[in-house]
Amino acid sequence: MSAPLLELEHVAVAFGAARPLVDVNLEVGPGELVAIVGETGSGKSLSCRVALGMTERLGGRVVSGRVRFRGDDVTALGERGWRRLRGREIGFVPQASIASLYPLGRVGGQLKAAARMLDPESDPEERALELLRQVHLPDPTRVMEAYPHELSGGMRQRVMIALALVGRPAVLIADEATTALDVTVQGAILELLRELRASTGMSIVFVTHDLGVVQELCSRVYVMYGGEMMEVGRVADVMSAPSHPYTRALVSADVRHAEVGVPLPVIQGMPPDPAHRPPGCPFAPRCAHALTECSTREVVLGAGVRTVVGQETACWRAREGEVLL
Amino acid sequence: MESVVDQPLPRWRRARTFGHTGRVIGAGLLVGVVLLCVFVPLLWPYGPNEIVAPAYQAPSWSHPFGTDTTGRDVFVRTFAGGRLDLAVAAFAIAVSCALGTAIGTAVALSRRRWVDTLTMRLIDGLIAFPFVVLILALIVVVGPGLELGPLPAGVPALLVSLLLVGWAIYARLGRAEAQSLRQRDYVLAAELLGYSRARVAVRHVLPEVWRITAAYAVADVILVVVVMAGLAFLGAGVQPPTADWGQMMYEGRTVLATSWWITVLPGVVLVLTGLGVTLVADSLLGARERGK
Repeated sequence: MSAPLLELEHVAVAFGAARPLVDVNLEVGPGELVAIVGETGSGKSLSCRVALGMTERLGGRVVSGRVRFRGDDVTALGERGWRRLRGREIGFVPQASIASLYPLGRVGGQLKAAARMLDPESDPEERALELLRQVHLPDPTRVMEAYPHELSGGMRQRVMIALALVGRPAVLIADEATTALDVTVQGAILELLRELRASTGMSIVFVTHDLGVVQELCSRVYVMYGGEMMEVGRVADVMSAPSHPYTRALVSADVRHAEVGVPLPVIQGMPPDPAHRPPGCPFAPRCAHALTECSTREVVLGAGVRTVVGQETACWRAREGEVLL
Repeated sequence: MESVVDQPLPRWRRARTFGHTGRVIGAGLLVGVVLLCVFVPLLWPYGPNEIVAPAYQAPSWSHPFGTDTTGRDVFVRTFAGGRLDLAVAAFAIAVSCALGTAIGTAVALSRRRWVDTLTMRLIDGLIAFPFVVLILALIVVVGPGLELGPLPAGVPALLVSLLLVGWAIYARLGRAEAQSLRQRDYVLAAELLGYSRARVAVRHVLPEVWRITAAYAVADVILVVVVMAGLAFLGAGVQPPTADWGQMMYEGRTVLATSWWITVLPGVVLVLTGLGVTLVADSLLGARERGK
């Protein structure tokens, strides 16, 4: 793989006494489609915000690790420095498009304002129309005149994507961008993202809790749990041969693997409280395969734990090459 | 079965209908008083400080509100005084509101915590003092007899002290609103798009904060008018001979039993203004609460 564009290296984030991120690793190469999956509260969204330099704005602090962009360490970059990256280098598509568009402004005005700032060479009006066409919104002139609440959820999400594209970013981070949409609209948005990646060559980080979407869209996947990366690998490997007990549980809890009449397996217990983290592996208290070692010794990704297939895993048992299940 | 259409409107629906009526009545009263305040002093044959007839004359066709203790026309004085009082109150409130809203928003969005803490303690201090006592003290410091350009004696001191105290409540209101807006998705999304914090503050936060503080400001106008009238009784308001509601009522109080019109008629106009302002302000604040 060529030099990565965006990297998080062993990033830990603290909010007061709470440690929502403990050890986050992420590598996004040029043109890559990477997924981050995990359940609610695992730190997916926060990892995105860290990659956009928003930690302090949200009241937190990066306590260790590094954020790199194009190889430069941007962890301690000031607000001004980050502002040059946001929108221009790293685009962001939020989850709730209705809440994320300014409710009192017309779509066209918001796009044009963004174009004036992020793409001053262009004619704002034309750039806005071009972007709306690029995200396949029908009747762009009418959409320009509309207020956000007058559009449907799918249309709003397309507008959000158009806004994120104004500055022609090299990396697009989509934080649960399709979660609030119904399945057909979701499919259309995924298709759009795939197409945009092909036409612009940008990388996409796709955050979701939907494993099906990951399989459809992405090439590599990061599995997150309790503020740590549990497993990384090519989507096909991770889905067909999950090596971490958490990934395994996640995959088997997916509806598509259900058989009629057989209840879906449920992961017992609760995710760890970021203010009172247990020692060792965060998943150990819920893990069916835990050893005593698991709840005493920290295991992180990149400690050289690799499985036969090739994905990296933060699990002592995977290291031993044991066949689980 | 009784259809839904035949049933009486639910309670909230009625309240809303009344709110609309209230707004119309309030706006009507307010517009009426303001028009009279503007045109009566311009068109009336007598000036507000002109001695035009014997003192203590009861209301008549030539002097609808009678004459006062020195034989001046109470009608023209009432509306000349109203013009001054409303103008002073509106100006003081508008500036306080703009200033307070800007300060509150800036403080809420500031990254330096001590700015917020310091400003809020100052505001707490200002608000903890009884409003009238604080105003009175400031007027004494500035000098109640001070004249400034076209402003008659008493007005400059009044304006200065109203402005020094008035911004605080708007800053507190604005800060609370801005702090909740600051965590809104669209504010974060704007920052994630690379907009500067100043731009986000002005374009995304301020318009919403402004809606709250402005609605409150309308209600505040009458409070200031009443305080100004009260200050006349303490000798600290607008100084004679300039006409002002408080001053007029103060002058008439000794002869209230015999020449009631000198005190009561300006008072009635004051009450009607207050009613108008309150009805309008209520419907504005009510519209906000209903999420309009």
